[in-house]
Amino acid sequence: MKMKHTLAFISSLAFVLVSITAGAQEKKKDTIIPRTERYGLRVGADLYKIARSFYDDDYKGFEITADYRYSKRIYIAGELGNENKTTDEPQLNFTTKGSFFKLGADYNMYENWLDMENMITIGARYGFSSFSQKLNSYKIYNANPYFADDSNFINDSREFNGLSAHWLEIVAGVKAEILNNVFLGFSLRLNYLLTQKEPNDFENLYIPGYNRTYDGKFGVGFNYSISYFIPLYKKQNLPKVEEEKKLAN
Amino acid sequence: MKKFLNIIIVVIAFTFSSCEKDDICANTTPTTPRLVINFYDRENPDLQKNVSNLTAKAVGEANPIVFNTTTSATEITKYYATGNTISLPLRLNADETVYELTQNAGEPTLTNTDTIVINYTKREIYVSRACGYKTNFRLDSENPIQRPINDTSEWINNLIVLTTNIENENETHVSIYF
Repeated sequence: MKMKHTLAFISSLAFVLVSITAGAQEKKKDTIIPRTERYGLRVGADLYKIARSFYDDDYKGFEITADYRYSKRIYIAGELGNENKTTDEPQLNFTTKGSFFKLGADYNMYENWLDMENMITIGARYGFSSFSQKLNSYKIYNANPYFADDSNFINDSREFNGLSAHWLEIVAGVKAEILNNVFLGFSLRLNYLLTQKEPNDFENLYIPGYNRTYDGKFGVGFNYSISYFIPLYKKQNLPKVEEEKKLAN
Repeated sequence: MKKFLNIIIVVIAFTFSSCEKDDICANTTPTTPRLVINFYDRENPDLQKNVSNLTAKAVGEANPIVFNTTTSATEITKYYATGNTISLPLRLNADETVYELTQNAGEPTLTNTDTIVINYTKREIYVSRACGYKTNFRLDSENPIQRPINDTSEWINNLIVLTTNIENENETHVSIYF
């Protein structure tokens, strides 16, 4: 439905432009001013991870985001980061440390007006993380407590190194240009765990980059990014009507 | 735009729906097992036999195990087992647990206490985020359960260890004949 409207809008706009220019300028033929689109690299950081590192004593982490405009609508995108998080559960307390990267692409569904460069994107990523888990303390679950002095709390730490995980993400995001070349963005992610190397007699309950794991293979994530666009080159986008005319000639 | 909104709704719905399941350690999850004892008739070893007002108290504890959790149970009768099976928790911070098993508790002329000493080694096994770890037991192969004689009349006639691996409560670990 939207596409139809958009097409109708573009073609009627083009028609109006064509008639105006045709009427106003007789010497030049079909001189529609082509839209110039900027191409380049955008680099940023996840504000949520940085902020959380300040207010949450159990968390230290960062994430660098980047995307490169490959075509009018397609952006090659990725994230790179590191996390150090201590999770405290009623039965378990553990620290996860590790780095991750994600690589994929975003598709901009948003039709910008004039020279605006805002984005509503849908995309996908492949994610990889290499990390360690340290079990700080744990409890033995006892459904039938009877003994008065039964200390089921065990304060004996164990460390599991060389762990890894691979996953896929579906990303939905928005980016808005708030200052010249400065973008504020938000993305929601649905993660699907492909494979993981698990510790012996423990489990990867948190994976850097993937976040908390659940019983199944799905997980969720988000980021809140601020990024800077570095323009590299410009490309003219010819309106469709003119292209059609060219083809007809 | 509509599509995009749908995706966001699905993602948010998923976030909420997946929060609950693994946050609570479900009753059905096998965790630290108790020692399951079945009672049989000494005259007729194939027949299960109900105990009469049996209490089980671990040495060192103030009270026996609460076996009767029905609402009609009083402060005294809540400790009484009357069926043909009981489950005894084992100590997690020791390698032996000593239980005093008393038949006909509360009846001074009939009451009779026997002692059993359960010897074992422990193994901790990861269960889940909500349950943490559980302990499985392996009864000592030489002396799984000892019965020190402390009076002239033992009510337990025979005790047979069926399995030394105490890993769940779905099977009987020990048979007692009386």
